[in-house]
Amino acid sequence: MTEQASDVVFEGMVEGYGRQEAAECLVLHGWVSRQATWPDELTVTADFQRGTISARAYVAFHDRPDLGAQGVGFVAVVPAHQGRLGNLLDFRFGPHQITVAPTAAGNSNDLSERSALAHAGALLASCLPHPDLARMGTLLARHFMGEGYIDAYGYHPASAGWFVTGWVSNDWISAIQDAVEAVAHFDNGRRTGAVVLNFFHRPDLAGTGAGILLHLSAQEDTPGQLRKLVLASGASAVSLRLAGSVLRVPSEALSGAFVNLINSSEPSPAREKLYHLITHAMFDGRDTLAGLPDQVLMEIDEAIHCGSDGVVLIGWMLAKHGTVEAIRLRSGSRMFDIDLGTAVLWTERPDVADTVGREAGYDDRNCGFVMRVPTARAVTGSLYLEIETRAGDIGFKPLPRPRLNGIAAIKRLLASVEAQYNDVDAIYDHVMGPAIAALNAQRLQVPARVQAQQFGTPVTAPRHSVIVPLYGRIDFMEVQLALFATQGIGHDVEIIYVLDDPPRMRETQGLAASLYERFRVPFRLLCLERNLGFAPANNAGVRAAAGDMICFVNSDVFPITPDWLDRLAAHLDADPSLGVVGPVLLFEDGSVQHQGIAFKGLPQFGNWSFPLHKRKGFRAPAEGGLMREDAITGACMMMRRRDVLAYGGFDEAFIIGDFEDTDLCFRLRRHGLGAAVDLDVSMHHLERKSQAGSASLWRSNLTLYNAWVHQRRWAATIRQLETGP
Amino acid sequence: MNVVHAEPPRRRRRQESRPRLRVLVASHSHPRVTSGGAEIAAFRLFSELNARDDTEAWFLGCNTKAGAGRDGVALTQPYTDREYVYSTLGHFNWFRMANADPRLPGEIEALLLELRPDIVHLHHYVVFGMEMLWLIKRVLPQARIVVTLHEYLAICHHFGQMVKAEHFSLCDSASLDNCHKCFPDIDVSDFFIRERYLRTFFRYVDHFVAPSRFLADRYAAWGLPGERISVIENIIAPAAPFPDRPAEPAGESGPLRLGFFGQISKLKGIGVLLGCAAILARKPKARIKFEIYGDYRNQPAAFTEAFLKQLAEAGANVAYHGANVAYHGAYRQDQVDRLMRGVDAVLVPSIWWENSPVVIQEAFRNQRPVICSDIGGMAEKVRDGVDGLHFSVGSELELSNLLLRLHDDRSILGTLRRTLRPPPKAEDVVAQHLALYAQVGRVTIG
Repeated sequence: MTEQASDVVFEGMVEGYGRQEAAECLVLHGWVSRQATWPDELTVTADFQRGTISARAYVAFHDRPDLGAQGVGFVAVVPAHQGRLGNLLDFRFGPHQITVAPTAAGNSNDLSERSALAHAGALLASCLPHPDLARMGTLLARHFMGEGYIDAYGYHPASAGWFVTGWVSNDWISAIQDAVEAVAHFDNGRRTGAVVLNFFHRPDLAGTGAGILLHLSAQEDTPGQLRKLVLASGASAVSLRLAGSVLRVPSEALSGAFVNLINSSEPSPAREKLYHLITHAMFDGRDTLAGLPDQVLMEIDEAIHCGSDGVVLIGWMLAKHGTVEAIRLRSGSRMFDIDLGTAVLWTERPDVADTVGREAGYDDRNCGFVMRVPTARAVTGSLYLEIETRAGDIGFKPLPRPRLNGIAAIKRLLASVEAQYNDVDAIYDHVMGPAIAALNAQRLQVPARVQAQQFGTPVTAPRHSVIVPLYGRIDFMEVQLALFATQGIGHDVEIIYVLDDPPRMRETQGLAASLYERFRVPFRLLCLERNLGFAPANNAGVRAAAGDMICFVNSDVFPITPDWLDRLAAHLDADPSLGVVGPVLLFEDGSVQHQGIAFKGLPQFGNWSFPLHKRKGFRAPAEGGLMREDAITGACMMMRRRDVLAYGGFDEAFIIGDFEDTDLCFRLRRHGLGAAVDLDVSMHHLERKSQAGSASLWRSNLTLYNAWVHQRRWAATIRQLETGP
Repeated sequence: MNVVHAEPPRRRRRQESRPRLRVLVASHSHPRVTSGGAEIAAFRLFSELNARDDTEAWFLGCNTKAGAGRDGVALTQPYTDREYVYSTLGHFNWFRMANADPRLPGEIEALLLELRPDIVHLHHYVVFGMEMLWLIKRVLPQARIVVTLHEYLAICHHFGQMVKAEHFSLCDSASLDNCHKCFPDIDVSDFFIRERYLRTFFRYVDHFVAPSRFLADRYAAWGLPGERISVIENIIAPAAPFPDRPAEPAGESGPLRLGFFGQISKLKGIGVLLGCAAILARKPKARIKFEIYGDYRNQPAAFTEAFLKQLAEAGANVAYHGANVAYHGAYRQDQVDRLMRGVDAVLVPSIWWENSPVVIQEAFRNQRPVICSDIGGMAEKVRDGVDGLHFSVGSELELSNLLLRLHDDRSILGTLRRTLRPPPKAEDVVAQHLALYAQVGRVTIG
C-alpha cells in the first residue's frame, strides 16, 4: 500500500452492473483513478436497496483511452449469494466511495443486466494480466444447463458431510471439465465445501442422464431442509431440485442406505473415496492409530488454543513416506482440514528418533511437527485428530486438553522449533507468526489492572514525564534514583516507574518507600497485575503521565550530567519536524552503546533487517551537535506527549521487547517526524553480556518473531532508506 | 528527639563567651557492642572531644545484632545522653553500601536538626549507607563531613581486603575487569554501577582521614581526591600500669616468647605462624614459643577445622622442648597490656595489606617490638630495624630464620625496644583532628 494514498483525491464511477445467477456473484464495471499500486486483496462494498454486499472481489483493470492517465477501467466480480437486491445505491472501492452512474441501473431490467454482463465479459479480454482473470472469465460465462433431481440425502457425522443421491441430465455431465463445485441451499443458509462425486447407471432415465452420488464436506449446524443443490464445473452449472418423494435419511441409517449404492457405482477413485467416507468410523474416545494396516506412530505433546487463529498442535509422527494422505482436526461433528503443505513445520526430534524411531526402523530425525489449524476457531469440547492413510483407512488420535495460554503458550510454541536461514519466512509466515500474533492479541485483550502508588507530593503540571519500566533487576532503581536525585532533577519532572514483574510488587514497594525516604524525590510506582512486556508497560506509564514531554528511559540507563532532560526537550521545542530525540548511550568503559540505529539484513535469518547500533563499542563521538538518524533506541527516547497520543506509543504487537523502538521511529517518520541523537548528551547504559549459548531457544525465537513483524511492516521503508532519497 | 542535656554550669558559661565546635562522631558499631579497632578509635575521639571546653561531641553508633533496639524506631539512647545507637534491620547492601532502611533517613534528619553539628565525622560509611552522606548535606548544608577510612571496602568487594578471592593473593588495584575475575557471577556492569553509586555519594565528603599513608594512597589511586585525604593515626589509650609486669622482658635465659594478638583468621596470617612453628619444632637449638591470644569462633567452618588440626599437630611437635605453640583463647581489651608484657615481641604475620592495626600501637605502648609482614600498613607503621623487623609476607621459612636470629642474639630485641616509636599521644591526635575540622570548616576554635 502506498503511504500517501489517502492524500490523493480518488474518483471513479460504476457504469454497469448485474447479478450473475449461475455463479452467484455480482459483476460491476466502470472506472477509477489510477493508483501506483493496488492491495493484493481488495474488498468492495455495494449498498443496494434491499441489502449490502461486502466481500473480497476479483478485480481486473484495463486501459481507458477516454480517461488517459487519469483513470483506469475495472471489472469486478464479487461473490454474492443474495438475489433480488434492487438498485445499487452506493459503491465503495476499497476505502474509496465512487459514483454510481444513473445509466448503470439495470437490475430490474433483465436486458440491461444481460448487457452489463456481456459488456463486462467483453472487457475482460482487454484487461491487464492478472492472476484472477481466468477465474473471472469462468464465473462470468457460467450458465445453467440441463436439469437434475435429488432423491435422498442425509448428514453423516463420522465423515462430517452430507451424502446426496439423485440424477442429472447428460448435457451437464458432458460439460464437466475438471473439479465440480457444489452449493447446497437449505432453509437456513447455504453449505459449500469439498465435493466427492461419482455416477451410477440409472436404467429408468433411458440414457438421458445418470445417477449421481456425492459427499459434500460441511458442518451440519441444523440448517433445516435441503431446497436445492447447484453443481458447477467450469462455465456449466446445473440446479438439482427435490424429487417429490425425496427422502431425508437419518444419520444412523445413512451407511446402510448408501453403502450398496456406492459399491454398485462406476468403478473410479471417487467410488473408493466415497466408500471410505461412508464406512468412516466414529470416534469413541479411543486412540485407534495402532489398528491401522499401515503403521503411523504419532503423539501430540501439546494442543494450544490460539484465539482467532484456531488451534496449534505440537507433537511428532513417524510413518513411511506417503502413508499419510490427510490429517483432520475434529471437534464433535466439526472437521478442520490441515494443510500438510504449508501449515505444518517439521522439527528435529532426536529424543523420538533415537528411541521410538530407531526401534521401529525409521531414520527420520525431522519427525517433530508444529501444525497450525487456523480454521479451528472457538472449538469447544474434546479434540481429536483423524488420520487418513493413502489406502483410505482412518485412525483416531485423541488430543490432550489445551492448557496453555498467554506467554506460557507463546514460550511453548517458540521452544518447539529452531529456525534459521531461509526457513524463517515459511516458518513465521505460515505457522508461528499468525499463531503467536493471535496468542498475543488474546493475552492483551483483557486489560491488566494497575495499582498506582505515589511517593511524595505529586508534581503538578509537569513539563517532563520520565517513564521507567522495571523488570528483573529492580535494584537498578536504587542507583538510577540516586543519580536523578543527586544531580538535582527538576521540580517540573514527573517520574513514573512501572513494575512489570508482579511477584516482586511488595519488595519493590518496600524499596520505593525507602528510596523516597533516602532521596526525597517524588515519584509514582505503577504495579501491573500481570507481566505484560516492554511496550504495554511503557504505555501504562503514558496513560498516567501528564508532562508535555515524555521520556522513555530503561532502568539501566543512568544520567551523567544533570541537564539531560532539558537539553533533549530543547530540540523538540526548536524543531517541529523532529519527533523523537535521544542521547548518546555509553557502556561502563565509556565506549558507545548507542548513537543511532542502522539496519542490517542477516542471512541466517532470511535476510530480515535487524537493528544495528552504529559505532557500538567504539570510543564516544568527538563531535557534538544534533544528528538526524533513521531510528534511535527505546532505552532512552523523548517525544512530545501529543505525538505519543496521536500516533501511539510502543506497539504492543511486539512481544516482551524488541523492535518496538524502531517501529515507533518509522511510524513517526510516516507522519513527517524525524529522529535524532544529541551527541552532547551522554548517559550510561548497561548492556549485560549474554553468556554464549545462554539465551534460551524460545527467547531467541521470540526476537525472530518480533523481527518478522517488523520486517513485514517496514521492509519497503528500510529498503528506501538504504537506497537513499 | 527530646533530649535535655544536663550541662555543668562551668561549661555553659564558656559557651556563652565563645561558641563551642559541635561534632557528631558516628561509627558503624559501638564499643559496647563489638570491640573492633575502628569503633574504639571513634569512641575515643568522641570522649576526648567531649572532655574539652572548646568542643562538644555526640556519638552515633550502630548495633547490627538481631533483636537490638526498640520496635518502630531506628535510633535509641541505651547508654548516655550523648550516645545514640542505630539498631539495624538487615537492610544494608554490602555490595553497593546502600541502606534501604526506610526508618533511618527521617530519624537522622531529626537528629541532625536537633544537634546541629558543625562537623559530622563518620568512622566508616558501612551500616549507615552511602546515602547518609548526601542526607547530611541536604539537612545541614553548612555542616562539614569528615570520613575516616578503615580498610578498603569501597575499592574491594572481597571484604575490603584487596586480596584476590581465589587464592588470597595480593591485589594492587581494583578495576571492573579485575573485580569481575574475582567474582565471575557478578557482571562487569554491576561493578560499574556499584562504583558509580559509591562515587556519587563520596562527592559530599569534605575531607577524608586515613590512619595510614598506605590506605590514603590506595583510595587516592582509586579516585578519591588525594589532596582531601589526611593521614591521622587512631587515638590509642595509654597503657594501664601493671606493677607486677615490668616493661622489660624477663631476660635472655628463658625461651624466646612471641605473642599473636587479635582475630584468628586466614588473612591475619595464623597459618604462617603455625607453619613457622612446625619448622622450628624440628630445630634442636631453638627454644622459641608462640603464645596465641584471640578468637576464632566467627570464622568459616573449614578454617576453624584446619586451625584446630594444626594446633593439635603443633602440640605433637614435642621433639626437643615440648609443644612450641600455646593457644590461650580470647582476651578482653583490659587484659591486653598485661598479656603483651608476657612476651618478648609481638607477631603480626597478616597476609593482607592491613591499614593501621591497633595491635601494633598496643605493642609499642608496652615497648614490645613488632615482627610483621613487609607490606601495606604494617610495613608503614613498623619501620624495619627501628620499631621491629619485617619478613616477606607469607614466608614461613624467612620468619623462622628471623626468629632463630633473634633467639641467638637477644640484644637485637633490646635495641629495638629502645628505638621503637611510642604511639601518638591522644591529645596530639585530637589536635590534628581539630586542625582538620578548622581547615574544612574554616572554623576558628579554642
